[in-house]
Amino acid sequence: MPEVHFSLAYDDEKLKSLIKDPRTRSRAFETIVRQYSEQLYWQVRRLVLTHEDSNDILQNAFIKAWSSLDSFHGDSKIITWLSRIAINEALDFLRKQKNRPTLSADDIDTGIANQLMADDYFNGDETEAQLQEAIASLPEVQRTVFLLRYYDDMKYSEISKTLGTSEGALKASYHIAVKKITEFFKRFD
Amino acid sequence: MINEENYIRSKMGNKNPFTVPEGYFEQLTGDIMSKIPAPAQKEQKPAFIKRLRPLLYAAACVCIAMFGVVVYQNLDKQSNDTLNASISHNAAEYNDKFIDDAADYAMFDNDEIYASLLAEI
Repeated sequence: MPEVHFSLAYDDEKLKSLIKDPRTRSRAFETIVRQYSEQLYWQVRRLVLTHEDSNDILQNAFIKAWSSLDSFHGDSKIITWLSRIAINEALDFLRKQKNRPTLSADDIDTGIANQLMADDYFNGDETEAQLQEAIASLPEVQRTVFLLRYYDDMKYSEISKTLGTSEGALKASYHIAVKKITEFFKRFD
Repeated sequence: MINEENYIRSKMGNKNPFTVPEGYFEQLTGDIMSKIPAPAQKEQKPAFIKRLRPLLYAAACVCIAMFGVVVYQNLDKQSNDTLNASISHNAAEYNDKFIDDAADYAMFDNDEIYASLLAEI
């Protein structure tokens, strides 16, 4: 096996070449996991809200990524490719749940906000819980683009590659999402 | 839209209300890698000379066989030549002896044999 020093932070192009070589693939993938797992975890967590579900989805996403390494041609950043897999896994999970609350102040008592307040791994106050409920009430694309823009400050071009949606559609979705969340909070002002 | 974004940020900032179990990220990589299937050991293509070896063995056998055939044929020819030579010599000896015996039996002497041969001409 060739002598390769796997440092903690690795250049994207270098990692792409290392995963193509069967002799260094496994070590390179481990470096990718170490480098990007936390960022991906939070992308998933903000979508699915609970730690246990997020952990399961993240691990499944990396297993899928490993299985599809041969089909990754390096035409996008590694994190963009991984985000696409992880977010699609999360969205598939949410579709299966089919338990979306409506964006209504009347549903506060039984909604996601109360579930979050009871969650051991949620540290926010009631307003933050309500915000999460407002976000969770959005349609899929609006919710995802809002989270990736608001929390990850991801560019529309990157989100477009991640979701396979045009930048124009994403900008429109983000605009609508911001308006809805603003209106939701103004009801409590 | 910028005003609305600012409004949301003023309400929420970028504070992360979610938490994880202690040490979760430290062991996450190990957990994930333990679930990754081991890469299948592909059969390594043998070195060129190793792949060529059976052909070389076959070629060597053919050469040895051909050499053996050539040697055998040469030996056979030699023994045939020797045999032919000995047969010819024996035949010649046998013929001469036969004629002498026949001449003795017929009580011909050499002059009479010559005379009879000349008469035939």
